[in-house]
Amino acid sequence: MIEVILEAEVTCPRCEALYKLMRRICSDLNIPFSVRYKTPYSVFYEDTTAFHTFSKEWVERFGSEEQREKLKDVEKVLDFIQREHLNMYPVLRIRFSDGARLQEIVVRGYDPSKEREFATNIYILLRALKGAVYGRR
Amino acid sequence: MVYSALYTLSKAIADILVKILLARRRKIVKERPREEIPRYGWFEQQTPLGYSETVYIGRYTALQVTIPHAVEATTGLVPSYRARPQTRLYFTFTEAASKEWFKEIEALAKQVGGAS
Repeated sequence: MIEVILEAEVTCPRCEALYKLMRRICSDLNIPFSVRYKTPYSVFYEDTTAFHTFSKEWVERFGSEEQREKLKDVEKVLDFIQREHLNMYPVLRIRFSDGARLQEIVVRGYDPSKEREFATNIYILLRALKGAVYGRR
Repeated sequence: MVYSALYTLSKAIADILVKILLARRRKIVKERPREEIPRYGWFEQQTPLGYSETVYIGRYTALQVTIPHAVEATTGLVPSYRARPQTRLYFTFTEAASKEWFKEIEALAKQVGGAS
């Protein structure tokens, strides 16, 4: 199984640009692609990347040693971000399973000036993953 | 009839030789007790990736159903799954747009434990 999910906001122009790019790549490679629109006030029923990105718990669990050391200085800011739902958009999630367990590659943010490099990288990655998952290209 | 002593002696020796050489009993080779491999029913087997799964093979129907232990995997009951938990690799956009992104993915996947 392989799929691509875009977590986006409705009023965000960068999300729209990334949506167009990913739509084209995924239709070319025949990979399922879906968009989940999140608002600052949407309720998170499941573990989303947008929810976990900038939280204190996330840094404690997955962050590097450097991030953990500097957590004391940023703790209040992180709490504020979580309280006010200030999340980064868009978030691109590539989900794939190697038979049993599910794995995810998450890319946060988007910059239109580096669109070409990003597109080539994503295309190569998705094609390789599709080959690995389904055993053919 | 009267035979000479030499004749009887030589005949006795010849008989013994014939009995030993020609009329030897054949060895009866017994079949080894084989392990009976069940061909039908429920089995537990390992996938090439190292996960365990249950397989049912029907006897009167051409039925083969594989059930991966996905539910146990989520609860962490099966050790083969516990060794390889579900992973999520985080990247920023600048990392994803750089040329060394694939190296980073490989390094992180190695750290996590054998991602494909």
